[in-house]
Amino acid sequence: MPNKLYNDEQYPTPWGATWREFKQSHIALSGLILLNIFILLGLLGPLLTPYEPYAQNFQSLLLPPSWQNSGTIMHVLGTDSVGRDMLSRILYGIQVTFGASVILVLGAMLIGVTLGTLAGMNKGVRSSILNHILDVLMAIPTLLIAIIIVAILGVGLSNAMLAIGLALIPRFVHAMRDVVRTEMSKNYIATARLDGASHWHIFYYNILPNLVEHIIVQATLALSIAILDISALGFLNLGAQTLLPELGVMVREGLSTAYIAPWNVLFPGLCIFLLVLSVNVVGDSLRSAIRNRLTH
Amino acid sequence: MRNVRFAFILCTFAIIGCSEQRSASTIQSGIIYCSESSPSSFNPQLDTSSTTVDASAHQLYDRLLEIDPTSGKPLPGLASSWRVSRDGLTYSFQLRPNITFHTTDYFTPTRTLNVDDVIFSFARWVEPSHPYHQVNGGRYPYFDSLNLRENITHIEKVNHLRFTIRLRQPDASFITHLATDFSVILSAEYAQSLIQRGEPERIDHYPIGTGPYKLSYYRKNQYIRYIPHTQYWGELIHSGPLIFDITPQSSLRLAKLMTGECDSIAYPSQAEINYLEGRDDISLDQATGMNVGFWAFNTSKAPFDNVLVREALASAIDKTTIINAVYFDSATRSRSLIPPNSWAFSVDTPETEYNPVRARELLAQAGYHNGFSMSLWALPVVRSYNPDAIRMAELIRGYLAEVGITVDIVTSEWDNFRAGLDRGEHDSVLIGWSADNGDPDNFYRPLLSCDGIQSGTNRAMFCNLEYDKIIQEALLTTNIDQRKALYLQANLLIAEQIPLIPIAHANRYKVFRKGLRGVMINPYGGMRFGEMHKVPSVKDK
Amino acid sequence: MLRTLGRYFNLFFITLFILVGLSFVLAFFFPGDPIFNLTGRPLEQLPETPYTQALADERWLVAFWFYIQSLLDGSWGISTISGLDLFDEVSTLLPATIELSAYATIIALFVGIPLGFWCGLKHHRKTDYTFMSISMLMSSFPIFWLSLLLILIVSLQLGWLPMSGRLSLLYDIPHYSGFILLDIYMSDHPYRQEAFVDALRHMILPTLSVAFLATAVFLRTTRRAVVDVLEKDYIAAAQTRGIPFWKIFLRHIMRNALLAVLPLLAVQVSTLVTNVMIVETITEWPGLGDWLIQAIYERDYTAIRIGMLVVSIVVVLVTLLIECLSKVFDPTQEQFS
Repeated sequence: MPNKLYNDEQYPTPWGATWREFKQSHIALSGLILLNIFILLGLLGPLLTPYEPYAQNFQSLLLPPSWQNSGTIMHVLGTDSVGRDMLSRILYGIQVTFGASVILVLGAMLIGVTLGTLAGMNKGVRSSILNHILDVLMAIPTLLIAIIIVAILGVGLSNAMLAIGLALIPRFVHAMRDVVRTEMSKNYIATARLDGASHWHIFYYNILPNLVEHIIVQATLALSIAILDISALGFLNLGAQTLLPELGVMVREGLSTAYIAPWNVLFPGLCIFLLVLSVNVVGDSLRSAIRNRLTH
Repeated sequence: MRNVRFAFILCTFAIIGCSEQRSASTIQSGIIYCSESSPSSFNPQLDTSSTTVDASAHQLYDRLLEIDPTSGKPLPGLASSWRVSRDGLTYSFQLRPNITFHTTDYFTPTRTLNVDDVIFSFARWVEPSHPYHQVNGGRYPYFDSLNLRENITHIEKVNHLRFTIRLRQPDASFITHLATDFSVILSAEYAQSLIQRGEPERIDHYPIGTGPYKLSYYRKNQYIRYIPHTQYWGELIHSGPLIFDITPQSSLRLAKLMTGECDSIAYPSQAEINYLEGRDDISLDQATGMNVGFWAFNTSKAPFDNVLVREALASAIDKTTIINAVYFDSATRSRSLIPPNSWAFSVDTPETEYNPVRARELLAQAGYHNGFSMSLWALPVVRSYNPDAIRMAELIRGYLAEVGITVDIVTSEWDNFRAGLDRGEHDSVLIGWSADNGDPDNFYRPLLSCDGIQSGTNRAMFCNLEYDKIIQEALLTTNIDQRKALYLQANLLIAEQIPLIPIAHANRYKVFRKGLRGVMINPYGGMRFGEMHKVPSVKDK
Repeated sequence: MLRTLGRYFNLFFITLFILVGLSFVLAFFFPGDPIFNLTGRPLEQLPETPYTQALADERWLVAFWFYIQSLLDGSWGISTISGLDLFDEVSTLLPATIELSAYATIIALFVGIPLGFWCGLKHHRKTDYTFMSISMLMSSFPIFWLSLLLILIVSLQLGWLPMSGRLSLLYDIPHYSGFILLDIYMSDHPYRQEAFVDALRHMILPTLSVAFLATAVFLRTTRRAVVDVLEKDYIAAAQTRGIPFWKIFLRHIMRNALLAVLPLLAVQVSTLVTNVMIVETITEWPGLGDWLIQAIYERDYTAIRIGMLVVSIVVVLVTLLIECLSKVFDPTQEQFS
């Protein structure tokens, strides 16, 4: 603002305020750093890998990680039962698991937010029993939806993504509908309406800016669920198939040699764990930052 | 009432507090065997797969004769003595008296074993008009593949414990056939009562035999429970139940062995064996196996009917690498169908060399300049002859990609898999064969003879009259040198025609917890639990 | 209150109808012949009934009517792979699943909710942060990895507990209710007590794996609810009036926080069921989840159809029950939205 009439304290933008709250927590910051590392690895992973993730090497089967006595520095995290380098596979695995999760969350978000906003802005639908029945049907577990999709379409990463996406959409619908409904009942909307604003206008200029934070919070929640589910389906052999270095698939493959080479189960699992943890920490911190901003 | 219940729960918590088991009870003398798959029935006449044989042949039934696992010679079984006539055409047998059949909740026998039971057990697969012949499929793979039915002219009852079998022409291996896992003796009385009740198909699923164990409960894909047959004619050492815990995943079986949830497991992989060698609570026995793992081409289908294509495929793969990666050092490389410890083995059998350049040339000659795509069926279960067919298939896929052939690996649940093979849907398959007796005929005939196609053992769908003639001739004489020369001739024919590529002969292992006694490797077939028992004090730490 | 109950009753039946309809329609979407997918037998082998007649004539609406009838009288068809009757199968498997879920939930409730209260009351203090961080770590575990780690460490390394199944197969316990502890208690097996201990030992690992994640979620949910209640004006009002804190806690905080937690727990039912199904496959727990996943491996479409129907009905029933309870106890909530 050019005309600073009063030497008032500067009001940060809502985002700035949230960020200020957010960075006060060390845990939140470390979570964010970890998440950024994962994003970087996901994007650049294939450039960093020392080996092809599919390259089998029968001279080096089941090598332990490099810090163990019989390990070599050539394979930092050891190798699996067909001699594939663990580190390379994990780096690719991050790309597959994390990438697939992000894509499916974006898709679910787009559909969910649209439907949720429509449901929230349309009062007619509000009390309809249909709405409630849909909510009830949403209680069906992801795994069940995945089983049905696999039964109809067959196994594969994209079908697993479809199943989890279908299970996630209602979360967005639900959350967005509630938020939009609360916003719609506020006075500024009524004012805008009295000014003759169209539905679209109200949505774009009044509702959407208030939605963004909620969408992001919902997206982080959905992302951690998506990562867990994608890897779980991979583990159960209902998602990504053996050849694809997906982290859950890697845990399943490591299982057959778990007693001699526990690192084959340990590292991919640990990677999923850290990935989910970083998303959870960031999401949770973001939620409390927003809450703190609003209460202060 | 309430107090009693409370005391009961309190008590159990007190016990759970100490993880030490109290004094060993008889229930702990039960043996748990972790098997690899569900048997398709409880009658080894109907199914040669080792799963069915393990679950039935030596547990539920007895045979007229047994094979001595060390010398390979026949021993008396249900028949206490037998005689072969000078012309080799008449076999007479004397049965043991007072042998009882199982009494279960679905059948109570009224008489002991006699010749009628033996005649019924044979007639079922010999006579196509027998009322039981068509029951449960009407296929008797072992006998069909050997074409034994044609050779038996008739079986004659002399008195209720004595009978003779007459053959059409001499068969050097006939006596060993009677001692195989498949020549079990069923109860004619039970069969009769089932006919009267109108449910003959139950005979193979609710079995009645004379063996050391009787079936108590079977739940598909879960477990089989046997209880001891207390009136068993032989020596019954073990008094507890016998349980087959069906665990398809190899790593899970090993884990259960380590936690003591299984006393013995089926088909440990080589990596697992190396690991187990270091443990002091687990024992390990090994012996060279009478088996062969191979890659068979469906020769009834184009382009595999073309010998050039088959030769190209054979020279496209490097057997040494495949054997190292799949069997580690637990197998012998195959030159022919039979393992080197068989008397018919000859080192002169030629082998196709690994030569991808030649493979490409051969493909070009056959008219496939740009390669083609084919299906490769990989055995979905672990077998002694192939511990990991899926990995083998992946390796082969890699090799074939280099010569321009795209491979689609097919695998499915074991029953479906075999049904698909029976219908000849495969282009090629990774499978194998475990011998049922020590005779080389038991490799050559089922695997590649024309009759083997019908009985579902000839997965190459290979039918070559010259080959059939050679192996037929080899049976007519008992002269070892003559037979050996004939089998070498058969080897040469296989090496030239390449209906299949023999890959390896795997060693056989038995792993079991210390405390299980009487474990013996039976090189000619299924597990025998009748001789095992458990020393309870060693159970668990 | 009656009105609410009635509404939920209605809702349950409508949902039930939709689920049954879906399961019928699925038979057409699954590969293969719909009639085979519905009954487990090809048409020629089916007995002559009005149902099969309707199927044969492709009068699908009539067939659907008979389908509902067949579901009600327990003739659910047979498994395509094993040939076993599905009703019998499900009635032996469902109790095992319920057993596992129930014990895990009970543990999680008894650990998670009191801890959640404690953290909520001490919020923004050290204990709160510690427990929040721990629960954050706990809730980030992939269930399958957690279960595997427990097995690898507790069963294989330490040899303390068995790793698979529900009871050592040596014990031949007759089947009455399907709930193993109850069955052992009711049986007259000579080794009843040993069997009971054995069953408990088998139960520990799978129950703990599921309870581990659920505890973390319950803790966080409860803590959040308590903090929200603490910030309410009526608490401040009560405090200014000098009411002792334990009284405020019992009268206001506990009741209101629990009421806020209840509907959030309903959301967790589906996660819990997914986790139970995964743990069942890993530990070979003979429940519906393991069975259903085996069914999909073997493409046993009749089993998938029935399994999907049963699991979703149970989930919907439990979810609605919890929601309904929370509505009944908490009249301030919107009646029906």
